[in-house]
Amino acid sequence: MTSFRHTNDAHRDCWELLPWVANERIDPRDLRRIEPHLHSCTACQAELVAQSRLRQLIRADEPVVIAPQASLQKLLQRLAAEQTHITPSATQRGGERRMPASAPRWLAVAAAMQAIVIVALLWALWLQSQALLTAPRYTTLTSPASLPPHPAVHVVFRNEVTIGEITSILRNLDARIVAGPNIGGVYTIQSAKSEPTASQIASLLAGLRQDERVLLSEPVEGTAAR
Amino acid sequence: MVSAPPSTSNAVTNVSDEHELELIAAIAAQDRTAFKELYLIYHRRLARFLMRMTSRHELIEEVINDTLWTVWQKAGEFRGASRVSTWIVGIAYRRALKSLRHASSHTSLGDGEPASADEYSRDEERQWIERALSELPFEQRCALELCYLLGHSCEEIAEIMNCPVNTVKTRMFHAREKLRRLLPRLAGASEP
Ligand SMILES: [Zn+2]
Repeated sequence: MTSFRHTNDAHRDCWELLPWVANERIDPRDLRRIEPHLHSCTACQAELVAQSRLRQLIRADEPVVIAPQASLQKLLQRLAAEQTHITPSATQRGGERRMPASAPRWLAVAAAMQAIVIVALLWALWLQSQALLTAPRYTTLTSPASLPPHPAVHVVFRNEVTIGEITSILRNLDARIVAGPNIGGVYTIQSAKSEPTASQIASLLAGLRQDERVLLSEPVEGTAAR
Repeated sequence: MVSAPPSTSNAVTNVSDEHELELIAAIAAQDRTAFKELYLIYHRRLARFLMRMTSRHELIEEVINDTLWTVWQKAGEFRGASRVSTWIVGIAYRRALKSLRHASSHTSLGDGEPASADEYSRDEERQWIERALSELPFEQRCALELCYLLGHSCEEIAEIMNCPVNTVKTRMFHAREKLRRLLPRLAGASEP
């Protein structure tokens, strides 16, 4: 137990962070800070080897796996039982028509994308290059290439808007997501009506622009109501 | 001797993160197919983690199902501020803490004995590490498993265990010191 010396701050700093060097999840800033010490300290180097070995052993140790199917069935029964007893709060929230099940997948991806994107900058990019931003980043849902020839609107929500809120905003405006978000967090939405009129699209746009949770909304060129 | 972390692991993490985020969004819209997929991913992950904490399979099942039940109910409120795995493992950790503390009147909290005697025959090194891990206090063992078994960052472990980052480092520090005493072979033959 002679490897740890309290007197050396750089050593302690490095020593404490070695598990995350070993599991490759250390913050890059932390790594930059401790790297000079790590390169010069044989005690820290030996500890890193020891911790990497411990990690290997723990990961290689596969306990008896419990078969999941029986538990899953139990839980699905519990969900089914819950759905037959709709609580008052659920009625309040879910008074409106439910979104197509596939749509909110995009909403969740958006939540992550929005966190790392400077919306205004990317909106500017969109203005410069429609093609770049309408290129589908994810292809599990309707891609822009298969959009029906109905008027479409591009929307960007504020970062702090939750998936639930986006769902609710669109429900209230009788709109649905048909594509997106792309890399810039831009959704393409359409009216849920099969043949929306120009005035319905105008009121959809007005509704979006009145909502302070919507950062930007623009009709998509070439899809205007006829 | 010192190797830099490979750059590929983050890319792999991002791909599965995106997929799990898609699943959460689908679950928010009550999509059961997505729920089943997420269940199977996390059943395996959480079972591995929880089996280190207790040998009682019925407790493990209960914690996993209660965790995924919460995920089903709260998916619509998930903001994506943290990784999906951090969110779900955090729910499981809190649930496990409650269950295991409650059950500790019957079995010890850090009950890390292998599930069956058959396991002992599989690998000597495994017994050796398993026995040493079972000697650790619950919080220290959790921190270690979250770091090495589930691959979480220091900040994520702090979020999961609802404690400051420095507490995570301290728990890991003590776990490592204790394991060094229990597992002198870990550091190699040259260590005293
Ligand atoms: Zn050092």
